[in-house]
Amino acid sequence: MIATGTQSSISNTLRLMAEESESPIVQALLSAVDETEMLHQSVIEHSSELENQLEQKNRAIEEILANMRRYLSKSLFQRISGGKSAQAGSTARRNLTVFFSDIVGFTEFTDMVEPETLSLVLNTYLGAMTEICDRHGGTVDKFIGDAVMIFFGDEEDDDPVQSARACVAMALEMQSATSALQAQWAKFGTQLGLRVRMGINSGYCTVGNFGSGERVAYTIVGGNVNVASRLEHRSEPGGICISGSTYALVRDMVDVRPMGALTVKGVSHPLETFAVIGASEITYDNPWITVHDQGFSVRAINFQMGALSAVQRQPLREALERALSILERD
Amino acid sequence: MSIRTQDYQAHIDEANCKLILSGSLRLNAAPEYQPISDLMDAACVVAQQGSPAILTLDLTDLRFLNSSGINLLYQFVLKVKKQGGLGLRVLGSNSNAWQPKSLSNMVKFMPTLELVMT
Repeated sequence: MIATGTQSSISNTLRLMAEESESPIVQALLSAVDETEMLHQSVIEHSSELENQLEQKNRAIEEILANMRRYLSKSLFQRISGGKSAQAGSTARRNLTVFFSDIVGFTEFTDMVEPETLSLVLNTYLGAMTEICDRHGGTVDKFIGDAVMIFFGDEEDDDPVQSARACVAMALEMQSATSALQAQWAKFGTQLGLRVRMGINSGYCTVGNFGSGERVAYTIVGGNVNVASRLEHRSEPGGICISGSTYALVRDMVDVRPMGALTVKGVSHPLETFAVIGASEITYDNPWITVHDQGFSVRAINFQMGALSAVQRQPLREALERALSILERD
Repeated sequence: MSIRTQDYQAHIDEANCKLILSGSLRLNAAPEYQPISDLMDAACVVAQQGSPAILTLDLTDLRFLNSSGINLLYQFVLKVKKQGGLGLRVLGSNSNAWQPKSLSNMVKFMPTLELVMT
């Protein structure tokens, strides 16, 4: 094999010899070689230009996607960026678990505080709730002021039981996270007693893209959505109210107290409702602790104040409490 | 004479001795470009009847051209230069990002070529 530099030097020597030749054939060959080189070079320049433009367009698309990601839920973003249809009218019936929440007394609070404080309080709250929702695989349908609407189970291969369990685990984690936020807000001087009401229902809904040709929203509609909203209003402040259909799917993971029957317009029979008292066990994934029959393992902790937010500290606190409760058993 | 597809159009305007290419030309290799190459040869025949004998190549609305396509255009310019007897005028647009650089390279192959960018 001849190294490139050597090849070039041989080519230059041959060219010098050819240029000294007076043979018309050699001269014609030289001219053809020059043309071919020029052609080759020009085509490469054209290709490079196209590649550079492609790269610029790719960067522009990446920037647009990065901006879009902030406005959409994780699963919806993956749905759109993965090329799934966003045409109005593409819908399906799915067995979903639907979640609604709002902060008790938030409207009064908004009238009492400066816009900057309101923005800080609301954004930290919604940010924390979204982070918990994403971790449990839910889709944030929308925020309406302080109210949050989330659903689980919109993918074709989703298991309705897993969707309900993930949703209830999310709600429990959200309720614990609000107490951590409460302490954080007190530092800002806000006296909002943060108590969140939550409602959860499971059942068939229509999920998909609704809207006009110009603007569509990936959302859910149906009687079961309204039921979830009604359950949220029925919930006690700081509580989680679930329907009988959800309870049937999560019976072994939560302790509940019956809250009586709820009559909903359009539904012929009264619906059973339950207040979730707490988790029968910590069912959601806690990265700090693994519990097994013989005991538990706690992940190595190198805690530095300020490195974790109040919300991020919550699972650590729960893991340590759980470890302590196991240690204190007889 | 013309070729019309969903992606691109190639058309000879006989009255004005003009070959118009428009759309997005991204055929795979030389054999796929053969119908366009044949149309270019036919345009030369038409233009050679004109006085003066000048062929106008209108690429103003050619939004995209891949490397096989630019190779075809460059080869065509070289062929016209070698055959002699026919002038070339090329119309391009600065709004097609690939054109300013790649079309100006045509002048290297045929210094008498008139390039008009708008």
